[in-house]
Amino acid sequence: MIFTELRFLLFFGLVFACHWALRGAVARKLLLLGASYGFYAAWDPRFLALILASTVVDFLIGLGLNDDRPQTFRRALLALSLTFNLGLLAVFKYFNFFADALGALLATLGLEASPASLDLILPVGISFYTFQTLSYTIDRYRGQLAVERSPLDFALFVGFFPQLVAGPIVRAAEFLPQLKHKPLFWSVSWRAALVLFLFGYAKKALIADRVAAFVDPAFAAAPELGALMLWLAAALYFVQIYCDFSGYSDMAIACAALLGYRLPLNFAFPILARSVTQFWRRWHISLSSWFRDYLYIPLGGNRSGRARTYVNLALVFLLCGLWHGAAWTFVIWGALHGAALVLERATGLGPRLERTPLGLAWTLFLATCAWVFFRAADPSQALQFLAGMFGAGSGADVPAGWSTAAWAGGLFLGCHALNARFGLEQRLARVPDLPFALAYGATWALLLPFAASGYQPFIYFQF
Amino acid sequence: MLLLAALVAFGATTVVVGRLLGPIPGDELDDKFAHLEQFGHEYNALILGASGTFHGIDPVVFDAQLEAVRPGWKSFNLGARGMLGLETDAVLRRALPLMGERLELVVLEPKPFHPWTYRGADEIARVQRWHTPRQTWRALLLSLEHALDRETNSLRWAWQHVRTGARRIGNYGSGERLMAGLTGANPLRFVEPETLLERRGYLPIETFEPPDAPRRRRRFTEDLSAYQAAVAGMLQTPIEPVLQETLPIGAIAGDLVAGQRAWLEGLGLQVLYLMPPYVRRGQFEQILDAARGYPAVIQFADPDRFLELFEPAARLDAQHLNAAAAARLSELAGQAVAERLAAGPNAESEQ
Repeated sequence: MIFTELRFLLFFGLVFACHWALRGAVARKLLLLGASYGFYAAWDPRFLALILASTVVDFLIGLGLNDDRPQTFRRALLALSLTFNLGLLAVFKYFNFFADALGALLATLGLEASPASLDLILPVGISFYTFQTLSYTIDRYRGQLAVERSPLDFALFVGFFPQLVAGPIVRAAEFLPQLKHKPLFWSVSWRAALVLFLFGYAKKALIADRVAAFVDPAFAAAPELGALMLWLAAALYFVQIYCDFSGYSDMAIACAALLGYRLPLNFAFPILARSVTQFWRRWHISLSSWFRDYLYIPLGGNRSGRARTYVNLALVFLLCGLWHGAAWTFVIWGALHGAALVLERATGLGPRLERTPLGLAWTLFLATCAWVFFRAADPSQALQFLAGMFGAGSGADVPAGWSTAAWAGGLFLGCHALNARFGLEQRLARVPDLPFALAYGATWALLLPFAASGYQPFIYFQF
Repeated sequence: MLLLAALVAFGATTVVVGRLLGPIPGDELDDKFAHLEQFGHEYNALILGASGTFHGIDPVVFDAQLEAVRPGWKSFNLGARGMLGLETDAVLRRALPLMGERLELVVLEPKPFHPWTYRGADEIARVQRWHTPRQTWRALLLSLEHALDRETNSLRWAWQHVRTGARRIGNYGSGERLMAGLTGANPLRFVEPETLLERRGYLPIETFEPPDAPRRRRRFTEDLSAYQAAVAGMLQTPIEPVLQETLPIGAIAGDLVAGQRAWLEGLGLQVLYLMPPYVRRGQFEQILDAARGYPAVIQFADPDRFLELFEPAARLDAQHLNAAAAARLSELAGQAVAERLAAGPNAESEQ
């Protein structure tokens, strides 16, 4: 069930109506939990057991992580949580990747090996909810979070459907306290939430899916395309993935807000970032801040000397790449970003770039080139694509649909810049009720004709 | 109150947008409707059906056979690829107001009023177009009826029709048509107006190459024995007993067939059903079986009587005649219809 589908709108409408019709806080939470599991089961009911297992294990571990327990016991519980959650990821997401890598390594050493492989489907959203539950047990271990004694609240924290399959990654400290108070209908910022949903829908259905109609065939036929078309395809992929993922995040945040809950901001105009450092403060904020708080800082962050800082940065970004998918393309993507961050920090270039438009060009250039690895089927295809971008290819084809995609991308970037400059979302949310309602209805009617036909799954669902 | 205001604004804007939409690019039906808006009053008969009719009945040849009983008779082929019963009904309801007083006869290909649609069909503008609220409701009921009488994908169908109906209401994905409507741009045409005028809606299949045509042709020529076996099966199984087999009424929706016929006859039109020479294979099994529920079928799916239409040389692929054979079918069909018209509207019997 995709947020842009009619099926989801009907589902959400029903949940919304029942949620606010129910008076009891427990009844509302039970409804949301049931709806969340139903939502997930619509993807694949088999993997519901994994969410339930993750919920039960981390809930129980959380109960055991009290400050008055011996440190060794607490450490063992944390290790159990890490092993369980990362073990789920290892089995379902990374087993074949590491097995293949091991096989290749042994082969280069002249050893014959045929590593086992698992024929498993990647459960939707596993990378997101395992990181959420890990944030709870780690915060509990650190003594930064009170124990959660309500299984219902904890299950809802793990499974809350707006953010279940593709984030934002919600920290327990951000969400669990909200469950202690019954949301009040009149405290919801309706107009802001509705505008955000509309913007998210437009990003996904009008821009990302339309641009995909050019980008997908362009990547498939890269050797036949000229440099200009390859640059266009790479740049539009940047637009596509941003609109796809931030559109999803916007809709997720809006849906949660309409139910009376706050989810963290996930994007803050990263396309307009003036350094790679700034880009990562604005792109997939819930993931980058997770890595910062639970990996970079525990590794020592920038407190242990320059060399160690660079190593930490590189390691975090390699793992950040690997988080996205079990493939070398993602690792290289992460490595490129890590290298750029190290470069900016080592040379002091970052802050200087941020003061000039040159920073925007540098960030767009680096991010666009890195996205080629992210999108390509394998590193060799990415290298071939990049070589073509820099004039080493021999193709000259112009794929169909390039102008429509370019228009859609250009129009989006224009609106995006205007939104960043003038805060259109905030301004629209301040329009008085009746004009807002009339404009909102009319805007939907004007947007729907321009939606790309056919629903495309959100790119980040595969992670 | 605010929700109502938003819904009213949405509804009013969708109606305005719907009025501004240009034709569907590259769609034979929109091109034909554009023609009928101008010349509809000239025609005495409308011929509707799927590809077997669209590429099988040439009105020029057909009308020549009627010259003796109806001098100056002009028919228009309003067929289109893959047009099933529900779409046929929607097309008829859109076409009739464009026709004049000369319209006397409607020739329909007996196709099931079946909720089945092509996979992903809700994304096709043409399918969205026939999902008027009325047809969506009928399709939904038919889908649910199937759910009761046999194992089908009926719930999936039901949902698909609801979704397609909703997409039509919201003009979903019709931006290209909206821009064409607003700018008056000339969209990609399926057939040029002059050709329509000259051919009266018919197009020889050789002039039209759908993306899967080469594959279908190749499969036909490479697997000729399968085709011949299917025809031999039809020869060995006389058509009458096959047509008398009992089918679930949901498969053809007899009440909808009767209702459509009563509606057309109420408008003073004569209705005839004409089955092109399809071969009993795959989905065509059901289409041919559906004909059993129709009254007065002029049956050409009968190799016993029309073997020449089933010769491999007459075919472009397993289900479609080439242009030369289509001319022959048009001749035979014209003769059969001429006999019916000469006999009067109450003469109904299986040919």
